Amino acid sequence: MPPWRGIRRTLGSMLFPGRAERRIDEEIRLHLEFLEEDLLAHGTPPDAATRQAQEVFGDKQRVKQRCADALALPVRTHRKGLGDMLTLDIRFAIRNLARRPGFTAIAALTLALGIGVNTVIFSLVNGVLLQDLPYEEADRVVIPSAVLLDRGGMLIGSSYPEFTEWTEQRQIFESIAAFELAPFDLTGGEEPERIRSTVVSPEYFSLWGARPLTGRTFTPDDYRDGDDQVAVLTHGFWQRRFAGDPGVVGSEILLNEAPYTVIGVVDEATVWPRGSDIWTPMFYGDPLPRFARRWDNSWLRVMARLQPGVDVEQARAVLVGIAERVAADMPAIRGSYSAEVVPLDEWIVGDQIQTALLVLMGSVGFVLLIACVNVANLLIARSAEREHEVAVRRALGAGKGDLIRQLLAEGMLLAGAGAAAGILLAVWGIRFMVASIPDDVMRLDRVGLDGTVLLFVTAVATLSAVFFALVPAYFSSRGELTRSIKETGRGPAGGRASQRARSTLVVAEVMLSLVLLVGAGLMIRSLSAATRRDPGLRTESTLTLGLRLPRARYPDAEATDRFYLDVLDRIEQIPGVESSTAFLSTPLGLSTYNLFRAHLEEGAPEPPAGPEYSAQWNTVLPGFFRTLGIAVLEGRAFTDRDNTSNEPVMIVSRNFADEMFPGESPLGKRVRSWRDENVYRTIVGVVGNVHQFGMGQAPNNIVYVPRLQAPGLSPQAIAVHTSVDPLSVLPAVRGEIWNQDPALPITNIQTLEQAAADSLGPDRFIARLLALFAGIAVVLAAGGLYGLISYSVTQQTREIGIRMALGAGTGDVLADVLRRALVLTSVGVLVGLAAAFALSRVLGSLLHDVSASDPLTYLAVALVLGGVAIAASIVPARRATKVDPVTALRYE
Amino acid sequence: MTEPKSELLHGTLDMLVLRVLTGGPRHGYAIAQDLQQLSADVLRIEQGSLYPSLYRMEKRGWLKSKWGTTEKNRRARFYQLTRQGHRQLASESAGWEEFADAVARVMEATDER
Repeated sequence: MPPWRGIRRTLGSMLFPGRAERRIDEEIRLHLEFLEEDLLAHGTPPDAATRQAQEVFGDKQRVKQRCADALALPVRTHRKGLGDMLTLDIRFAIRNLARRPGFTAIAALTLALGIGVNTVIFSLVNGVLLQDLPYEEADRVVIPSAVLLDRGGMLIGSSYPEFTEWTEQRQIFESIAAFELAPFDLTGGEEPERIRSTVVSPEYFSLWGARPLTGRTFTPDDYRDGDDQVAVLTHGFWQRRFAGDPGVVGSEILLNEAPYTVIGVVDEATVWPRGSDIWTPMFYGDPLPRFARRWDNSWLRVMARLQPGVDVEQARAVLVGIAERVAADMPAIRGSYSAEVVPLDEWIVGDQIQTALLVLMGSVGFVLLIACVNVANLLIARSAEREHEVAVRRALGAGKGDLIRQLLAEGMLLAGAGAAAGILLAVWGIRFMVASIPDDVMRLDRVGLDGTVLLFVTAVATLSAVFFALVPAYFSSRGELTRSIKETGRGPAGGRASQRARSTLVVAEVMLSLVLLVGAGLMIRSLSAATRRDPGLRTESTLTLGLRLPRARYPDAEATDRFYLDVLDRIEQIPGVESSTAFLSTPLGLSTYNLFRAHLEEGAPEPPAGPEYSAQWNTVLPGFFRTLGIAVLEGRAFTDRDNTSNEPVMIVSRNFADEMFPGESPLGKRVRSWRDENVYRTIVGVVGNVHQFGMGQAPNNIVYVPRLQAPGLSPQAIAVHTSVDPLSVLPAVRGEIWNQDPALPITNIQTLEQAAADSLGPDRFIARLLALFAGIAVVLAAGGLYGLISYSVTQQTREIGIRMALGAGTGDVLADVLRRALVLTSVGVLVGLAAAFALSRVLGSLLHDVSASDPLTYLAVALVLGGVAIAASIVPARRATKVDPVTALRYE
Repeated sequence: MTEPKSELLHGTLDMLVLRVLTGGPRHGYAIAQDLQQLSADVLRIEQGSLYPSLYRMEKRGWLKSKWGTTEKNRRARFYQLTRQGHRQLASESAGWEEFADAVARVMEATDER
């Protein structure tokens, strides 16, 4: 017989043994009714019919027994299976909870808050950290990179010969590709447009298994010199620029004035990195120029797909082995290099975000704990009230198991209600959070309520339910049985044990909320320290714009300089403009071009014999420091005479000078960027440090070089210092630029003030969330404290009455209650301070200028909690003073 | 109230019930009625034996049952043959025919001695 039917039947009879019995009864009854009807139809009088039907049928009990035998069932009318009992329990639990709507509502809402907040953060963690990348088998894709050991393990990409060696390591790499991002000017169509290309080596598309939507992708032939160059379009670009015309395949486009044939279209969602419009081949044609083939020129970015079964460790070991061999062969240039392999998902997310998310997850876990503790407290208080009922049930034969099951049912109902409400809260919360996270902080496309998140909610709710059932169960099944049946219910209800337990729980709440407050406090102080930091330049009243002059129309330095000098001249004529300048890299994180070079003093040995000093290069026009308000600390700024006819010079930032020339003035020293330009420059000035990458990071070492002495590095941005609101002159500035060159794309328009604020976006986000959680935690803890004190005051009405009758004044009573509250709070605070001290290490990397054990924060938080405790207990304390001794004693 | 004219071994009862059910699902009382009618009133089973028989056969997997409503909108448990039940009926009726033949042969054979 089909197995499932048998299983169902067995299960059914196990859980609901009564059911089969009821069926037998019902069938017999029906049969008798049918018999009766027939007899009546044949004219038998009614009472005779009943009797006759019975006779015809036979002995009902015997039939029933025989049926039961046939089903092999024990027939015991009063036995209930687990299924019956649970149904009863649940119905009972519903009735119980409904009888105390206030309690149920508070408990459910508290839970909803805890669960809801956890769900929101978990969905964030899930979407950013846990979800797999949306690429095919992305867990096997890694980023191999060379590592500079003497730069603290900085990852720097790879050099060309290094990449070539890595491509031979087929035992670890299934495929490997180099890539770079490069801008191109697209001309020849309607409007010229500056687009971005991901320039890739031959294996790129096969690494991703990307199939073209139309046409084809690159083959090795496309990399050979001679024929036209080819390009592959992204789907987005194809739609936008070519309206999805399938005829684009085979057509020609002009990139930087050179003809490229479009050979295919690929969906950019299937590959990484994104954000470009086209793909073009790397290493095209002729052998690469010599400098591009040097071992010490790490200009390539590399990605690779591991062979199945090979893990990151093995790959790393192989690459480190190669690096060590090369270091031994060429100690001068590769002595301090090693290698690293980073999985793609780690590479994309980055360390800081990971830390931040983990901190948030931990915090929100604390909030949930506090919420659960609150509800547990409520339940303990209630179980104290229900002692009488429990005692009666136990006297009637209910076992410990039955009582626990009942409590479990109540706990699950509460947890279920809390979870349901929490999910609703989370839906709204997630939407709100996604809308308010700054875009570049993290990618949020996979954040939402999906299966994993719901599973999480279920798990959390179940754990909470078990917690709620066990805690009060522990207290209700202890030996308060006899006492409560006899007594009329006076005296501290629940006995010493449950009172102690509730107090402990409240102390735990205080401790947890203190930890959260400390965390929030530290983040807030860090944030305010960061905002008050000196950015190193003037942020008010300054506007920046990015300009990229296309090589086609500005083929040499002269043309570029002419453009800039003319346009800056015109801009300075605009009313409201104080000054303007042009430069390579925009500060405060706005730059799109960041160039780092290594420097040596004259006479100093080359590495590895001696150290080299790294700094970011910025080429600037004269007037740069004045326009941006960067302080010149020593020496001078650049002038027009710093050009190719005169001595090569440089100006350095304070931190670079201190690092390279500690304790002495760097003025007059001769320094060269020895890996590329290799020309000695004299340091003529020292300027203040600038937060080049935003207020959230320490200022880097910067070397400034006059534009006129670095013809290869043309400016890519201008800054305009105004005496009025900078955005108000924007239209005029744009107008002047387009007067000069109508086809010039302007990018990245931003005021420095906005950029400074934006660069702290992630910090601000975390600080706000932590503050929110800490706030919730404090409110919940205060609620818990209030509940506890209030309850104990009520229970001790008689004692208070006696004391007042014996002469205690209202002041004494008040002090008593408050003292109780403060003792509890102090214990919680002390333990919490210790815990916070230990846990705040975790925040380490997120804090600027504030130590994780900053005493001011700890003190402030302790005082705040003390104040909250007093506030929470004031009301019940005052109630205690209003006790009328006469009334209180009347209920003796 | 008449006494049942023939007692039936419960194996035979099972076979008859199976046979009745080849006409489609029926509830307990209807099966009893059918047996009575089809046998031209000769067979009147003790009603109390019917249900144990039905339950026994259901447990063995020859029948399945579920609640349903009669024409008069009464709630009743309807029984129906399973595939296994069909097979059981076939084998039992083959056995019964063999038995009936054998009995007939014995009864006729004594005449010839």
